[in-house]
Amino acid sequence: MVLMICYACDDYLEILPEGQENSENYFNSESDYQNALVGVYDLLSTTYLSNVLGEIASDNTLCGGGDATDVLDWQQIDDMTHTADNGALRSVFQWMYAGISRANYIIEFKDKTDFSGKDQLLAENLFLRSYYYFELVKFFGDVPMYLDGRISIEESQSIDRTPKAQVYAQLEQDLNSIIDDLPWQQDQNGRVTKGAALALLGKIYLYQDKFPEAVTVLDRVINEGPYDLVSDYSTIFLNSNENNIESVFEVQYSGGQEGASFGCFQCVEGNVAAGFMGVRWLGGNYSPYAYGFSFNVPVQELYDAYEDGDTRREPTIFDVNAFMASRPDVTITEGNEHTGYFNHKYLPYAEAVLPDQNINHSNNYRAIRFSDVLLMAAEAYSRGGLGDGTAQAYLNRVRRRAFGDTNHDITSSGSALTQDIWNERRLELAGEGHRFFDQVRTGQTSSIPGFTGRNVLFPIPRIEIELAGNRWPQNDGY
Amino acid sequence: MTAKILRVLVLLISCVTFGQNVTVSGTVKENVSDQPLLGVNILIKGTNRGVTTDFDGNYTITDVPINSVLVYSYLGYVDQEVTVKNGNPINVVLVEDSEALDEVVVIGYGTQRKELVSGAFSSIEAERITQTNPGRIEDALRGNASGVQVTSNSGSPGASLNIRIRGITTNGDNSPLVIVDGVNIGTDLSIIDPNDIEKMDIIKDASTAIYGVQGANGVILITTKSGRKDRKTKFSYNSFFSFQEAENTIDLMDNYEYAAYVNEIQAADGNAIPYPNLQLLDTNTDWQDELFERAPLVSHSLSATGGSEKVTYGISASYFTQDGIIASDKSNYQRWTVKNNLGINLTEKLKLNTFLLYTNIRSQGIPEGNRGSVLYYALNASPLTAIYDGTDGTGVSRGFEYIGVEQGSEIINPFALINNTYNEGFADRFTGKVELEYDVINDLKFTSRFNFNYSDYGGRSFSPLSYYGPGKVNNNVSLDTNDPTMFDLDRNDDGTRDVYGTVSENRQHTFDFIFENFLDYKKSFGDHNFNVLLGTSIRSETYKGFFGSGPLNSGPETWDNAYLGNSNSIIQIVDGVVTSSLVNVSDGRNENRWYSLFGRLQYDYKSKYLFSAMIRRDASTKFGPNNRIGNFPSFSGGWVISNEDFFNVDLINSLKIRGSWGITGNDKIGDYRWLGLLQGTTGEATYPFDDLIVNGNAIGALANPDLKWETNYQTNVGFDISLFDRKLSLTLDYYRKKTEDLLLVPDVSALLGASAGGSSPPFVNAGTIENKGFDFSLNFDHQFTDNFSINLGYNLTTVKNKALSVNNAAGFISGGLFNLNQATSRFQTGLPIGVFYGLQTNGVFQNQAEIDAHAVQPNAQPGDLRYVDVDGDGVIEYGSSDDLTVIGNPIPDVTMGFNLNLNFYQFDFGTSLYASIGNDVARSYERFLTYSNKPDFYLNRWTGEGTSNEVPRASSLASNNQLWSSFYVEDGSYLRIQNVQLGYSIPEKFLERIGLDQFRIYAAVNNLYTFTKYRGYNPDVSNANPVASGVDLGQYPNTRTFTTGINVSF
Repeated sequence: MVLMICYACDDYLEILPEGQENSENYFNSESDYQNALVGVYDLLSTTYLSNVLGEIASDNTLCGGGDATDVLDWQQIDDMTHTADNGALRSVFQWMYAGISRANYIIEFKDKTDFSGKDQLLAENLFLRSYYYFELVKFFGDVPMYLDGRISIEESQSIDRTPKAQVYAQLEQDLNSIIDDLPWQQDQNGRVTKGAALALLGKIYLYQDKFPEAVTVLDRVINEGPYDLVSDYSTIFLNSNENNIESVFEVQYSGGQEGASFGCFQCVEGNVAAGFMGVRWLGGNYSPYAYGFSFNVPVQELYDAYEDGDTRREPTIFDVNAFMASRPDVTITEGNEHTGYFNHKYLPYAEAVLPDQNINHSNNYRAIRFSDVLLMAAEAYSRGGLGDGTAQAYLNRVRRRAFGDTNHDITSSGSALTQDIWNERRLELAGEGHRFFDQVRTGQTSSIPGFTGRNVLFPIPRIEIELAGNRWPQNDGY
Repeated sequence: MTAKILRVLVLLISCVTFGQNVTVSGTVKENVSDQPLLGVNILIKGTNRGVTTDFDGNYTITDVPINSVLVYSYLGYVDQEVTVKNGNPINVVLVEDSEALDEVVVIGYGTQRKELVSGAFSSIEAERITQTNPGRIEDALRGNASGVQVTSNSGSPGASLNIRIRGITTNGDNSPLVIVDGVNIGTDLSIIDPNDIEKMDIIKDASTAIYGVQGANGVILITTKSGRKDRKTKFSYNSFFSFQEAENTIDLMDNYEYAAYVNEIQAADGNAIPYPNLQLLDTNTDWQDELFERAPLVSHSLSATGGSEKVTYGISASYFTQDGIIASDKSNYQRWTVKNNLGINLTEKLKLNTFLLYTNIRSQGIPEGNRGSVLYYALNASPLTAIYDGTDGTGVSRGFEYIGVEQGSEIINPFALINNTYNEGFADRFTGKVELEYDVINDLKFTSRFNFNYSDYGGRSFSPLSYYGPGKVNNNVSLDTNDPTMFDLDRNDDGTRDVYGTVSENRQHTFDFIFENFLDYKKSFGDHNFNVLLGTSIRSETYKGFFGSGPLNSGPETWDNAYLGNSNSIIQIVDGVVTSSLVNVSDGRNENRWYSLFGRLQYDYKSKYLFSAMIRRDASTKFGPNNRIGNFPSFSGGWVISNEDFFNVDLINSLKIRGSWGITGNDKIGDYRWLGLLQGTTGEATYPFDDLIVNGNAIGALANPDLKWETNYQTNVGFDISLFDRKLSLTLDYYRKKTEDLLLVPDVSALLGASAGGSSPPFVNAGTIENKGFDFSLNFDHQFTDNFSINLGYNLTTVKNKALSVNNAAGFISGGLFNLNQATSRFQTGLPIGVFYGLQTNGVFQNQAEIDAHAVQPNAQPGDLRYVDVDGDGVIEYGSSDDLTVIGNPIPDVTMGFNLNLNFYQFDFGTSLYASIGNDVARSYERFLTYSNKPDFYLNRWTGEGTSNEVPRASSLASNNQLWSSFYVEDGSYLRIQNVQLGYSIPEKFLERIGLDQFRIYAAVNNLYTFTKYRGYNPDVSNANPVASGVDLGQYPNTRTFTTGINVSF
């Protein structure tokens, strides 16, 4: 009798969650693929951290913040005292692999359903994966590479660090394979274009000192692409001038539609970094700016590096003392390592964003600018001995915009020209997260306080080595 | 000689002849109603022969030797013995045993005589339960049962408490299973009025295996007050009224102390002194003092119990209301309950039992218990900031002073926060059962029980436009840049308002049912007594919820108008930039199912040798097809030495030794974690193209198809002894619990991609945790005279907790919160769960020479905390695990409860004490900014060589002093006078005249005083998460209550 009561118990337990899709039976339509691709783009938002660290670690800025332990992870990177336990480095490591994992999820199921436009979708996907891998290589050197799909916990403990050259070779192959599938212009701003893929590929060549290859692809961007320099440098970074003609690849942020919280930076659709870099306003009318946490403050030496007449200094470095002189009612709180300077390119503005407003600003990050492409191409021409004239032309195109005249043209050649190009990169791109990696790449690290030989790479997060089964050697010196 | 022998033989023969047998019959009735009793056992003493009475109380027993003794026994009544002289009828009246219920233990799917129990149980009777006037049953458990620890999350109205039976067995949900009259009531224990409880039995050992995968955290079996057959209706009315106040406040600096301290910081850092003239300071706000108020608490309960020949009933209703000691108009709790037990004998063999409980809860709350709480702000706000700014309240400040941004961009005026807090919660819960008991044949009973919990709950909140001052992260509106006396209600300046307050509503319901069918068979073969149970259980839990929020933009912007129906989406596009404020609606839904088979065999031989074996087989949809089924056996045995014939110690009335071993399980994890689910297009996989957020899709929590339940192995040995005419009873148990295959969410390699928004690592079975210790309880009852009696209870529990393995590669999981983002606690291999793990301090650097002699400690100055170089590498590493070590343990070594009750003529006096020894608390309510207020022990700070070796110097640059270290760990041991109570009962002779059985009035104080060295509010501060327990974020303090009440019955 007792047993009779359950005549169909096995069936009774056969239930699945209602109204939720299962990860193994997805990818049944084009929209499934499109939605999954949005998930891959999603992680671009987290690159705010790489960009902040790329400045703080360099000689451009100090960490700043509220006090000397405010975001200790960043302070340590500024001082080059960071260890393998640094939480910010772990975030970079985790978030970039999160993007790679989502891209690989699409690749795992890439043949499941066909539709028109799939080649372009897969091309965008490969670009994003390459972008994430490149960030990892810049920070950590050799990184474990997996390509074909998602992996299990067991598999995550059986993958070795892939030599940097091999990762680069894969990225070159992937990017070369997608160029023809991408258009120069997309319907939606923020989508990956042919120019973005070529520029990233050029950058990857340049990082390997493969100058002829770099020149080839970068020249295509310059000659075939729809890009030009914005005539007025001071307008490039305004929120009203996003996705402008100079923008080859731009990370999109929006703070007006979804709230943000400190509990999940990777969930935020706004630009987390902008608020961190803002001034600690106290009182008065400091319109159009918004309050911030005074991180990533430029040093006097950077300010002084701009010649008089260089129109880039003011749009690059915000001089809060000068601002207060013009607005006597405005008061501020001085943060840690106060220099009086702030990163003007990404200052937070008072705008229609949702709470937590401090980390939800809408400033897009101009990831690859046309001037960056020009300077990379100039560098490749110069260092590769491929033509100082072209190098000078590209360089002076950038300088003429900066000074508004031809009086400041560079006429040097050889290694002097290379050095001039490097200096120009610093001035043109300060505050955009490139500086530290340029310094390391070009061996110009003596000006970074605390920099020693080990600092050419960041340490692989210790916990990640442990979680991956203790099979990865740590980078030297950590 | 021969003649003598013959005479003896004759005598012997005649004796044998005289020892003739007779047939005895008669009727057994009970004393109060004079009604016959069915099923009374009648046994010829010293034999195993016996009969039971029939429906009319009649019995006939044949072949009874003259001069033998008949024993009449009936559950709940005092045994009676009658010597048989002849064959005349013997009619017996049995007297009810007032202690009757104590003699029976509810063991799950049945009861057992306490004497025969071989598992580890604790029981609490009604008087103990209601002694402290508890609002919730968790309060009644605290200090009243060995092996049971109760800690509070908060002293706010309606706050839940944490019950831990024999330590922390899992990193997840440690709450025990609670069964009320056979009904699994789920996780909300507030639905029961403690006045309704007749007794609580707590199963502590592996005897919970009869509940299988629900049994790992222990089981609490509650029996509510019900009627008995053939009783006139008994009414009881219990009521009390209390005033509550904060048990203590934290000593903070006043305005002069604060100003001097800030001056010292600024001077030390080389800055100008902000308060050069202390005499000019006229504001001195004591934020805590202004917040705390006296608040009432009222309880009424009325019950009626009784029964007729075929029906028994227990009906009760109660009302409980509690206001908060902070902002009582916005922080309060009301509960109604109505309960009905009804038992009907449908036929001679078929009985219907029903139980129905309705609970209605209404509550309001203020932010508490975390970084955004009213008290956190009050503890860190400057005493130089006034509460009110002198405006009329119609302006942007709403009349509240701004707290300067120098005090922290997230620290706001707590009164302004309260002013902007509007919420209400409700819950309507029905819990009930329908149960049929059928006596198939003698001693074989079939029970079919359907029980259910239906809950309808939800809430509403309104967040009006709030501005707390410049730069505050809590602002949800900006000021108009052109006119700072107005809100900027048009963010994109298109001429149309786009900023409104937010209204949120949610409505959720759950329906759980359990359908159980079981057979219970009792049989004795000679002195071998068997009881066999066999059953099945089908269980389902379903959930559905709707959630909505949006801008309140229709009608007035008031709480009374704050409903979702008055909310409309706004989307404005100006120059391609989207500004939106949308009505968001979402839902959640879920179902889990279980199917179980269970069986139990209980055996005893002459009540001397006890044995019990049980097994339950559970299948749960929490796990996938690979590992769906678990088997949970347990065994126990006992030896009642005092029932042995050879046992003859006058001092000892009973002595029993017991032992048990068994396996239980735990499946309390999220739903469908064996299956990989996508987040859906409302998840976190989003990206803004063209400034318009596009919703994508991505994997949510990662799957683990091989997931299975946690397995808990428990061994228990113990003894029960009662001495001196049962006046003194002692119970001692030793237990060892080991939980294997802990369900945890480990840190996983970044390569898995679980760090993306909306994703999370899979649950895995990875870890082992062990608890061992002693439970001891002592009870002493003595009636000195008719008018003077004493009852004294003491219990002690020790827990030694250790994580044997935490099997993720890192070997630990972090938790807890210190300052803004530092973790305090670890669940780490080889250490107790939730242990505090940080830098170890070793005094304060007195001079530069000490710094030079010490390991390299970056930025150290005289007056800074001196950290121990744990790894011995000559450098104190910050932001690394190298120099971190164990700096405290939130789990107490020993907890104790003590109860004393005295009855002296018409007066009764009671007190209960509770002590916890060896627990540490993390002081984590400080904000550490230059302009934050500080606890006043900072007045004893280091100000020069030899001034302090404990409290570091004042300096904002010395921020390494604010790293998580043993400086912030305090000893949380305490002794609390939980209750003192004095009552007076009107003598019976007066009561009879007015027709009352009892009339008692009393006065009581709860939480009279806590002896502790802890400097915060509450040394037993806790957290439902075991890896964050003992971390004091400025939780709501306990309340001290002053109570007067009455108990009436008639």
